[in-house]
Amino acid sequence: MSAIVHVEDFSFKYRDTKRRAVKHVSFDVEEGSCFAIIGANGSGKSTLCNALVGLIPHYFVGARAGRILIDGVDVAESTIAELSNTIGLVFQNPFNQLSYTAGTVAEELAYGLGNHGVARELMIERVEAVAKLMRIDHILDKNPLELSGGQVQRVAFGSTFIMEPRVLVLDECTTQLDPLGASEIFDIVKQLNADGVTVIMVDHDMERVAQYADTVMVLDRGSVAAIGAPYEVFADPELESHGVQPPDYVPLTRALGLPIEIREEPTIAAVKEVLA
Amino acid sequence: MARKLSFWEGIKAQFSTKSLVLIPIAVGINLIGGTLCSTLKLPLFLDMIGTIVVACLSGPWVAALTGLLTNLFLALVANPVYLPYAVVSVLCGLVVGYMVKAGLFRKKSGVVAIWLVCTLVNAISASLITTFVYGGATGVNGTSVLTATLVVAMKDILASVISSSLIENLVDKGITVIIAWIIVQKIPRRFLSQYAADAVGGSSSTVLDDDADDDAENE
Amino acid sequence: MPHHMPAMNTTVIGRLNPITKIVAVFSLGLSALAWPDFTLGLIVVALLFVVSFMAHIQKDFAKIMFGFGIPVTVMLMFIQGMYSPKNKTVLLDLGFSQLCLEGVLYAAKVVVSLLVFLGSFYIMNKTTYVGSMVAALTAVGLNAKVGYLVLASLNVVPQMQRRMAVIQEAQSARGLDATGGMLSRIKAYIPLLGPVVLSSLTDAQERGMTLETRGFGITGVRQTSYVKVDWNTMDTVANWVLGIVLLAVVVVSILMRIGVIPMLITWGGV
Repeated sequence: MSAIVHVEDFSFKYRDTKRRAVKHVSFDVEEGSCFAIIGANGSGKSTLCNALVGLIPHYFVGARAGRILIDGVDVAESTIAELSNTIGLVFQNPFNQLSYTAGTVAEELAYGLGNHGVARELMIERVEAVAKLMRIDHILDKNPLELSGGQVQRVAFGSTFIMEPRVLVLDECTTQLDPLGASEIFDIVKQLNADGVTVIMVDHDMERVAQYADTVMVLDRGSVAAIGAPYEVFADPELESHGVQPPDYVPLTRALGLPIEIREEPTIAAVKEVLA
Repeated sequence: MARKLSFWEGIKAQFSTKSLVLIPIAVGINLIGGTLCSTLKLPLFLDMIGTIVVACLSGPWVAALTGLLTNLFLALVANPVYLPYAVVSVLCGLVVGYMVKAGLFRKKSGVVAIWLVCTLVNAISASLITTFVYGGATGVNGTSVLTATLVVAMKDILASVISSSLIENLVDKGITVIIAWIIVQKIPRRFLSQYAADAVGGSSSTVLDDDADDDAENE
Repeated sequence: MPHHMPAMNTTVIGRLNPITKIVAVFSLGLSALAWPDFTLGLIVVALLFVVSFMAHIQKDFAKIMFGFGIPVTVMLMFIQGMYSPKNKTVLLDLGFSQLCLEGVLYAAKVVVSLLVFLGSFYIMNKTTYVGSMVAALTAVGLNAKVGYLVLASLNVVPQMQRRMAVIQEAQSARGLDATGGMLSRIKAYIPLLGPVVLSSLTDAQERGMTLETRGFGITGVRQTSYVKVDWNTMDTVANWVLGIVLLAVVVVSILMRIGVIPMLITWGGV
């Protein structure tokens, strides 16, 4: 396995703002892994996500330093459209992830392919496949603007994934959804990750991060405060000083005087034992 | 990095994706402004607020396109009668856009100048269309009745159309300009700063002087 | 066969290619304008009523045609018929003013030409899915950005209107007065419009991000579309007919105006 995402001493400052949103950030993401970025509001998580897919520097204006390589390609020297074949972004507000050009979900899914000039036959094939994967094949002829937030988010997810990217960046993509809608999305993420798609997730739900991530990176006011395996990062007593609450099982395990284990399952077993 | 751009390059630079996505929203603001007038039973149009806001963010040509699309939208969903008046909206967008670009929106006297020029351009171009496309009246609003009354008094069709249009526009554009000004003041700085370059056509990204803001953090 | 398309008008008219309908609007409208008097326009208006029956939209069509046609005819007959500078031949003396033939003829010509444009545009609009229209135009070279602007405006505006309605309801629940004096109503305007405008502007920035990551504005690629637009024999025939009609009308009109062939009808020596 090799690093598909390589970030090297990256800093960025939006134009006309006082401080850098991200500073001296370096990390690598292995192909096929699940990498989580956590941190308080305004710690630079979204800025970093935007930089990974090329929205910085090709959409947002500001000053930057350092470099980001996606599958060996320097983001600054590529284009957002070109990068979308390798790395896709899904963010928070579902209704801002529609093209507003489509009368049906099928058209919406096909929008990116159309811009890339993909032939119609292949387009139909991919729309069907992605719709099935996202479990939206029953609403293909509905107007995307008349769907629920959860459904729209799955359409947005599908519209990103239809480009067949090898890396998915999920910037709090379930924050506006109900728990059921969120778990439906993460069932799909889990499946894609198992199939070899690299996942980079930003999430406030620490239980979920502990459950899915192979590596966790903590951002604090734009800088990397900690990086490592979830059990290491969450076991760090300094974590709360960076504005992040560890998952509930961590204080629980600590209170029980047990070592912090890699996943929640051993803890659950330990708790059951204590209760029994 | 502020390289001087040619006229065409300057226009093309205004049509970045960031500006294009503003246009449908500005069209929406124009139309909502108009709808709100009828809900609040105000005898006004206030259907240029979006055009002026866009002129401030993305420049004259984007504002002109906003005007064009507003009328196209009205023609498609409401009444095709609005289509020829697209010329009026385009002209107003351009005029306001260039006046904003000249920095007039920042001074009180400039805002007054924008109001008066916009009123004149609107009244004259709209009157020419009413007279030469529709023969004097479109039958869709109160202006037609006012025009008819003035025709009886003044015996001159074009002059009557212009007079009734001027009276109406003076009040309407005054309130429009004030509302647009208030809205622009309320736009968050971080959002605004992403747009300023489009209006002048600057470069998109620069190299960060390392640790340039470390002192800012200690504030 | 179209995959997952929204409900569409399936009549003969509805199935015509959008390009054919655009050609029809211009060919019929320009023909009515070119003809020296109102007669041709009147015939086309009658034909448009037939077309509206074929497209099953006759009720709405009649509503818009009479809704526009009657008031505008009254206004123009008054303004032009009595005050046109060309007026000479008195038809009717009303005491305070006189109704004259020249103005009436001019008003009639303006009204029927407008009705031809209005009617054909309305039929095109009501029987065509805008997605198909844009797809058809993109296929013949329309810039994808222009297509985006038209479609996005049509989709974004109703969404903003719904958001506006929600705020309005909330405001009136808090006791907003929409019946007070003029000044208080103008003052009520900003708190209603402001929040929608500001939140929409920030939304715009994220929507721009979405477009960019979906390959919007990509250069050097011919865009394709999921929406399939058919071109049938009907379209070929209709385009030829419309083209020939326009050409013939323009030629005959010019010949009549320069006096090579006589006017078909002379209106009181005009």
